[in-house]
Amino acid sequence: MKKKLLIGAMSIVPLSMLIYWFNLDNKLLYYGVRPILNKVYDSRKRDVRL
Amino acid sequence: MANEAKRFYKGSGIAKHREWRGLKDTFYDYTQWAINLGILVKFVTKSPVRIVKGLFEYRWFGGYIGALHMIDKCTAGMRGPALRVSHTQMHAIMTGTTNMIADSMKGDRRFGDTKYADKFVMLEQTMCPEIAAGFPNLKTLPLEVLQGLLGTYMDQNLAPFYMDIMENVGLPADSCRLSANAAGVAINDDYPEIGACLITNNMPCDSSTMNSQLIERRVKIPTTVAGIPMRWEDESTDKYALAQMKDTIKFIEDTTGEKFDERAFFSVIKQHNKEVRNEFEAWEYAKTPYSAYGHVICPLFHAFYFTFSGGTMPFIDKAAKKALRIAEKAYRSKVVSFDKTRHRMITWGGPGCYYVDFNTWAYNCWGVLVVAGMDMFSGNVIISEDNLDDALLGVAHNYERGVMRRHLTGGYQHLLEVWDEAERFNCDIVLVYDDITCKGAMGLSGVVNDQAKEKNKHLVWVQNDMFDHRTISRNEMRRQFSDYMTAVMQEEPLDASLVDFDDYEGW
Repeated sequence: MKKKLLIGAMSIVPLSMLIYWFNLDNKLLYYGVRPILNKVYDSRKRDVRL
Repeated sequence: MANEAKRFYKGSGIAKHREWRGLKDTFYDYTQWAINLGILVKFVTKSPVRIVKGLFEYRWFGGYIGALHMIDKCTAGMRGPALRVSHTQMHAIMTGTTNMIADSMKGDRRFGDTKYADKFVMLEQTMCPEIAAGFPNLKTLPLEVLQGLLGTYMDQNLAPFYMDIMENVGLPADSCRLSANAAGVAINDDYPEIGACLITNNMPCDSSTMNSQLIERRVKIPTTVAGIPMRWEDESTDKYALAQMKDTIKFIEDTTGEKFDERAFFSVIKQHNKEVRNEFEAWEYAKTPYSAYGHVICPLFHAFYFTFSGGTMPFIDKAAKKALRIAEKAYRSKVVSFDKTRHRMITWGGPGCYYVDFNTWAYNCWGVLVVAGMDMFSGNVIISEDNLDDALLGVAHNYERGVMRRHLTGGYQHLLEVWDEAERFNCDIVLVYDDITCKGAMGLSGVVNDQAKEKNKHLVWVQNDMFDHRTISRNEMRRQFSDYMTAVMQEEPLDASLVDFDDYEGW
């Protein structure tokens, strides 16, 4: 168990470096999250008035 | 020759991979990215349920997911001390912004009534946070800026939705984009329902007055107008300014039940003065070839603390001092952070906020280093630390010399201060932004042109539509500047791939 935790902790740095270098955070947010959010916003009924 | 544009996907402008800055600087940039992630995680943990609800409730909130992308764009091409200064300042901006958004969601009555909502004095547009400095139990929160300006820096598609809403109900389409967006958010009922009271102000233009009225109709809390004089050099306006400050403080007392605390007030004012003194010190480095200050994050940092902190955010002073230490070290060691510089430029007028990294692009493409911008000279008033009337007048003066006031509505002669500032910062090019919906300022374009000829200065105009990239796109802004650089300056680009590329669909 301890060994697994240690391996898990040690893999955070190289994993995050991969995410950083290949810009995976922005790719996920732009191509994945953004379209979903836009669908949610488009489906919302707002009280539009002056 | 560099081919930096190859690093980005066409249309979206999303990078295929992050920039290689050499081993040391790339690793440093990675650590700063990790710190930014930490700031975002801390933000979500402040009130996870309400923040997630807010993300799904408010369209403007969705624009903030482009934050990390924006930081990459603003630091593109930076190395050494300049990269370190920009990241240091950016962390403070991110901390402040995420704190304000978290507070907005924690106190939003839409997600259930909460007493936390009554802790806030809401400030419309750029109303000065120092006004509530004497109320240690209260906090200020901006209305409009979080829903417009800051979001547009991260996502150029944020404001057009709200501007279309505004136009669809028949309001004038040629009004200032900042006001049009603010009005659209009000009409679409997209402001958080928070605060004990709202302080609006006499805005610099008619469209701002329009959006103030629309916001007042929407919010369900008491409001007042702080009418601060525009002609800030005219000493006869001081008595009105002071009276307005006192009236506004009384309004806060009446609507919140809190009492003005002089000691707390002066403690914030002391902090405000520290922020201003840090700024003056940074300018001295910016004037030299060994400056670690440049591009866009430095002026953003100034605009941020002027608008939101005013001495109320202690981490601003800490970040500024850390940046100064880096700058001092670079200066003493004569490190040239911006070694591709061919020209030094000052920018003036209302910028295209959807192209926040224009300065960075101008450097990477043409070797033109932006060392100063108009908004850097807003505020910057050292306020009395012992006399209450003098201090309140100082707060008013600071605001009167603020963003959109000092130069654009404070008397035509102040718009023309650009030549003096260009000289002080050793700039050989002046860029004046022609914000096509800002009717007040650009009435002086003929005078600016004439003065450039008289002074034999390089002057370039770049049109923009402030929040609306559909009218004048980023690529069109690039084209205007590049045409000047080739036709007038007879220069070749440092990186030809950056002259013309497609990022129209991007954040």
